[in-house]
Amino acid sequence: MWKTYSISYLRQNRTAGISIMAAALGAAFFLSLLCSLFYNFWVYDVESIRQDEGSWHVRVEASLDREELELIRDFAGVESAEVSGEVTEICFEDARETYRQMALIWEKLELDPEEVFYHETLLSRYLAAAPGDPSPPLLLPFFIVVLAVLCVSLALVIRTAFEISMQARVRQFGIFSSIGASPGQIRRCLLQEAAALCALPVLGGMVLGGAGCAGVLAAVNRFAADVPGRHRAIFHYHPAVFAVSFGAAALTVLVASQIPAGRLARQTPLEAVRGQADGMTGRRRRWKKKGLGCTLLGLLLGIEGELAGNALRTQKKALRISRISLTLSFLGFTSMLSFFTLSGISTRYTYFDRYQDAWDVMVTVRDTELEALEPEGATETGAAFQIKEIPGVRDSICYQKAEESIAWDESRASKELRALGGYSTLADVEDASRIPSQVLVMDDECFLDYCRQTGAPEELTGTILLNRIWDSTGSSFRQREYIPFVEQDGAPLTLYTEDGKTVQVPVLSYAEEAPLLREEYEDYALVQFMPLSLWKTLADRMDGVENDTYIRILGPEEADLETLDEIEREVEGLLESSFRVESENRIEERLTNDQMLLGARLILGALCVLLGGIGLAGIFTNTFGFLRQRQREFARYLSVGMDPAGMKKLFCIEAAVIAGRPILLGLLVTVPATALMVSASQMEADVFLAEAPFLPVAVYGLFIMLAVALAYWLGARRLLGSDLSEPLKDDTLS
Amino acid sequence: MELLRCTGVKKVYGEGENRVEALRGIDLTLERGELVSVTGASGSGKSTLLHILGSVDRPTEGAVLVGGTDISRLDPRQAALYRRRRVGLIYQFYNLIPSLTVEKNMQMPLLLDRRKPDPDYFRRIVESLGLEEKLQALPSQLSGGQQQRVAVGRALMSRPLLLLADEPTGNLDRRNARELMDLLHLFHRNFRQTILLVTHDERLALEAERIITLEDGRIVSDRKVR
Repeated sequence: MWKTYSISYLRQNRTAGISIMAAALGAAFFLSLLCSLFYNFWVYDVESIRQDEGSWHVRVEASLDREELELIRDFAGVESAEVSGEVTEICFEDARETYRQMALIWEKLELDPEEVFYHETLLSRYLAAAPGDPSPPLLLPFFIVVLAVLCVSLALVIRTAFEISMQARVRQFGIFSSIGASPGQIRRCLLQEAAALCALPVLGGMVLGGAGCAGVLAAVNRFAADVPGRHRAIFHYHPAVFAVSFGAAALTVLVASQIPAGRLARQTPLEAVRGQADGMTGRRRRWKKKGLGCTLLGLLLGIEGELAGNALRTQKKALRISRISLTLSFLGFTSMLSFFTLSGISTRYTYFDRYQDAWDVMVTVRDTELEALEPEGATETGAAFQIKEIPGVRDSICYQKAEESIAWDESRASKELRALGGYSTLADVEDASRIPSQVLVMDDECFLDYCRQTGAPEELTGTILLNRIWDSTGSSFRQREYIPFVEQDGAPLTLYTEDGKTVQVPVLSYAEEAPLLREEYEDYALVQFMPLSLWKTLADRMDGVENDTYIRILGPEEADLETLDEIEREVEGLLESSFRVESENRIEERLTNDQMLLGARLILGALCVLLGGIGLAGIFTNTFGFLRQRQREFARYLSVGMDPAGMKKLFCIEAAVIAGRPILLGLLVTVPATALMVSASQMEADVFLAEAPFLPVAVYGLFIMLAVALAYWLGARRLLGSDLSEPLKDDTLS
Repeated sequence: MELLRCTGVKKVYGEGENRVEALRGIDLTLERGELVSVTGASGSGKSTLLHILGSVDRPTEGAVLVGGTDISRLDPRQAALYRRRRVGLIYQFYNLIPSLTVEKNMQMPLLLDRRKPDPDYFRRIVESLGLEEKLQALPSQLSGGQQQRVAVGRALMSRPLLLLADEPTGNLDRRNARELMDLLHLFHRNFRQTILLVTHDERLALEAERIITLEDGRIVSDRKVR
């Protein structure tokens, strides 16, 4: 059959063949590109983790003797066990087996649970999750699911291309069947045809997809060359990537090519032969009643509208993937832009703008008491003092935070607070006899500076209260208004100690403004600033202190990134020998934040465009099959007197519905959802509207409309250019 | 010698309100070498009967024995072999493969069977059909009458036990219809071909040796004309 029939069929039906080949090439390209990108993204992520945190799987922080070490090294599945001081870093051959294997080692060596640390970030990249972990990392599984969904969508593009020519093929194979072709012969013939049509496009798609991925990585490397902390992405191609993408494409071709055979198996040869003649595929399919869409189109646009509605209904299955992809694409695109706009405005107002002048460099000194930076008070030997001496440092404050509680009596509340119902009403708590108090312990010198700034007596014997509480009833969280928290009667505060007893702390003063720090204070906590000298007398009895100490540094006015980087390096150099420090600077953080946002936009945008591409590919595949699919339909319209203008109108309506539906659905979901988000974030509508992404949304919508219009124009041109009277004369021409 | 026997053949299409009984218990025998016409009004079930005999459709009930084999019980592969080797079908709308030449269309049943056509037999058929000049043409390059002659040739290529023709002249003009009927007579006479001809044309039906009349899915008359 292959030699006799298929070769001549393929030669004489180049259009159908080209549609299938184009679909196979496009889908294979995207499949290969997606799988390669996903794999390279994974490799890059794993490499980043390895570079930043090490490539070990398990770390045992205990001194192991030689025998124990040998036991680990000889353990099945252990790749390496490297010792460095008191730390042994273990790598397993199969990272996914880490938890199971380590449990056995652990048991054998009778290790203390606190001595064993799993590299959870790295292991999660191999889909290894701790047994019983209630919230295992879901990002990678999420990406895999997204990838799988996209692969299925792309596979369906190929299937759709095959489906378009199916009707005619079913009839032809019905004829074959009626003259004695066996089901096996038909299946083999279809398979050979599919292989002949798709082998090269699929292989070509694989190569192009790989090349596309390499191109994307090169572009990302160039684009993100200045992103701090980023390493260069190197293109990798794993045989598994080829196996998955080629397997998915080949399997789809295999399955899709058998569609006519499957349809034939469910029909008698007679039904298959008749299927084309009466426009239906046997008794199973019957015309359904007109849908609401057809009726509406008919009412609005006349008979052409109704015919277009009917045509869209019959193409419903073929266009399903396109419809879903385009809708998701537009919805995703508009939602993403709205979300990023909203989030950008919000972050700007709540973070960058608010803290613009509050910090330049922040250093976190891990597991360190503030006292360690000023071991002998504010002397030249203390790190706190030395930081101030670093060139370019305009100001610095070292501080530690503690979450304590104080005894509260509503009679201490300010008259404004009492007027609102007191603390319990505003903070919505039942028991207001003990309320939270945030304590910021500052180095003495800075505290004295703060005393001068607020007009408080320059003493180290008391605390300064930030005397304000957010009036949540009269203002939004975005534009907060504050009222005084306590009566300024000078009465000492009563702090609860670790053992539930109390201690009196004198109040030096009441301030309306906090010192210049990058701190967010709790809404309903009484914030106090305390000198280190005073804290030292209390520290033994308090239990809410945090482990880390912070240093806020201001650089020169109008400092640039280079200056702040230099200050950062100096501070790190000063502290690193004695402490474990982490630092960040404002300009770099803003740049990183901007680039991350841009990167996230690009990735999500690319995903949306990819989805749109899948949808449009389906539409192009469908319209390329017009000649085969719809010649008879239009011949019938011609026979009853429809003129070319009417036919063009029909096509325009179809294209408008196909392109308009995802846009309309996308807007119908995005607009109320965005309005809800704007309202929930208590943002003024006009603030959002001033920056709303109208232009990109309009451009993307226009792009979808133009692409669909182009697909229909190409399909319609070929169909209307063909001899439409032929199908009416001769029933065998199909 | 009996070639075909139908016993209690029924055919029902659809379910519920759409249920249509196309055949309501057909009992029929055909002798080898007979030329039989089946006639009846539109919807009487004559084409359904022919399609069941050609194994392109299955009876809902009953048995169809051809050369001792019940073709209503064949699996798809066996049914294909039956259609390929033992029966030839001619349709009103020719049902030729548009992408194949006349020669290939005619030889298709043999090619499907991986058999080489007997050149002598093929030449005789082609000459009988008057298609010598058209062997390399495509169906779209032929007239309706020529296409139907190709369909006849294809049906005869595997020297079938039974030639089934479903309104073969229904799509032809008077002259072409006459020519086709002459051809069928010729093959019946020269090759002792058993032919079952479905037609609603009384005059054509009268050219057969035996006329079976169907009405509402039942045989209402079965008479020898000659």
